[in-house]
Amino acid sequence: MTLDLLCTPLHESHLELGARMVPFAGWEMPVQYPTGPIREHHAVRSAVGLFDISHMGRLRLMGKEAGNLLQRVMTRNLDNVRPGAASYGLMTYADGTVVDDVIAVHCGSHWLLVTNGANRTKVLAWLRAHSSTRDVTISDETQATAMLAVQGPRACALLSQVLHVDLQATGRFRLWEGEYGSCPVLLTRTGYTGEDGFEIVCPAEAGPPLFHCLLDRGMAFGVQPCGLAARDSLRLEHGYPLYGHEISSAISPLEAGLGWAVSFRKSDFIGRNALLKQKLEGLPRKLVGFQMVESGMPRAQYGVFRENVWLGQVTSGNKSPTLNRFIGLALCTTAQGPLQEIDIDIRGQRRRAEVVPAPFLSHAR
Amino acid sequence: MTAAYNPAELQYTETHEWIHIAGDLATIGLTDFAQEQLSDVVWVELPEPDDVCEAGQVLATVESVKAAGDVYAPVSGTVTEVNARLTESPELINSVPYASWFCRIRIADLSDLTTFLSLAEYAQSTQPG
Repeated sequence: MTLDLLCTPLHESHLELGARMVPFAGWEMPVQYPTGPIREHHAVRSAVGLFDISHMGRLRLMGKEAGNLLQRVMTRNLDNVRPGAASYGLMTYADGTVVDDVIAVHCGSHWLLVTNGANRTKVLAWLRAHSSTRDVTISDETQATAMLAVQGPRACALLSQVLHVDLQATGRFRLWEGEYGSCPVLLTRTGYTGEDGFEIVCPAEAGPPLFHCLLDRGMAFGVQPCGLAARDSLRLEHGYPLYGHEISSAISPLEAGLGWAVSFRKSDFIGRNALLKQKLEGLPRKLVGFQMVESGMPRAQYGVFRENVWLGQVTSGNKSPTLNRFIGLALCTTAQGPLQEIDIDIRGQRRRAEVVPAPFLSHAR
Repeated sequence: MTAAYNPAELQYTETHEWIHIAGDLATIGLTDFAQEQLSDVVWVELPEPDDVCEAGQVLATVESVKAAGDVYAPVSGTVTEVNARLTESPELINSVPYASWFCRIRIADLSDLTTFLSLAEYAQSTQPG
């Protein structure tokens, strides 16, 4: 059996720009453009970067009980999420491990749920399995739409110019709905880079003209198209979790340090009992941030040790382009008490590292 | 910075090392094709002077944002010099691959060299399909 990769509406544009395309989450996606991931990374920190994130799942939930269904499957309390607002949260299994991390956008008449690309069909099946008796209709709009991320300190100015509107008043995790040309666009002030920015959903056919308009108008703002590699180094500098690494069907959100996104005060949700038990009994493992003291590239699944005692493993690692240091996240046992000095097994050699708080970039930078 | 070697005057391996041989001294680097496949290089582990190396064994390791890659010794011998600039500025491997030599090796036995590829042969070997 061969699995055909899906192409986003911007596929042709990536090829024209000379992107290197790779299979990712069932899609063929740009991992980098000719500029290279490090300069792409810097462009997002200093100016503005443009990402095709059309591989992310976009599910529309309609019906009276759409909100109730989300409240039942998500760890975050959505009662306070009014129309025009969005919220980050997790969907957990009954054992407290993670189905996916998602953004739920309250669009008034319906909800939009943005999932990880690789988890789209799983989430769709999960929602349907838990909505049989409810008045809710779920449709997958992923392939009918395109999704872009415009990220960086100049994102708001660029988008405001392109959409002929002042977006400065749109707050974090707030929604703006308008038009580009004659096509409806939906913006949320969200992102995965740690910078100010927006994520945009539009009809598939509006994707390429909007993408090119952002690149053309963006020249004056120092815009840079960015691929998956820069997306990964940007999110890691801010300690944001990546499904399959920091969170997964074997890791709970509490272990991953996402307790702030788990509400035990809201109405019952799937996974609550297991998570509450974990919270009360204490966590056997916890995610820690570290930076290398001895240079070396830490990568996912490398072992973490202290004095030859195995502590856990690296979940993500990279060289931080901003800090010019090797940084990483590791899921480690709590049995050894708080960790300070650790060793990372880098291809057979133990290299010293120190535990530091994640996010790695301080806001005072 | 060392001036770049002329790719036409170098020899190549199927594992993407370039080799410049002058007398019994071999200078080793990584090809332009290899650096492009690797993407941005962020770290390199070099051998040390006086290290004895054997043809086909790992000589150095290159870490890019994407992957780790081994650089193999094309010849057997003793490392005489390493290019410490690469440790400070591994991105030189991307920007000037034919100036970014990793190390020089004093070849142990000149009569025992494997056959390397010419530029044309190497270029052929990196063609898709």
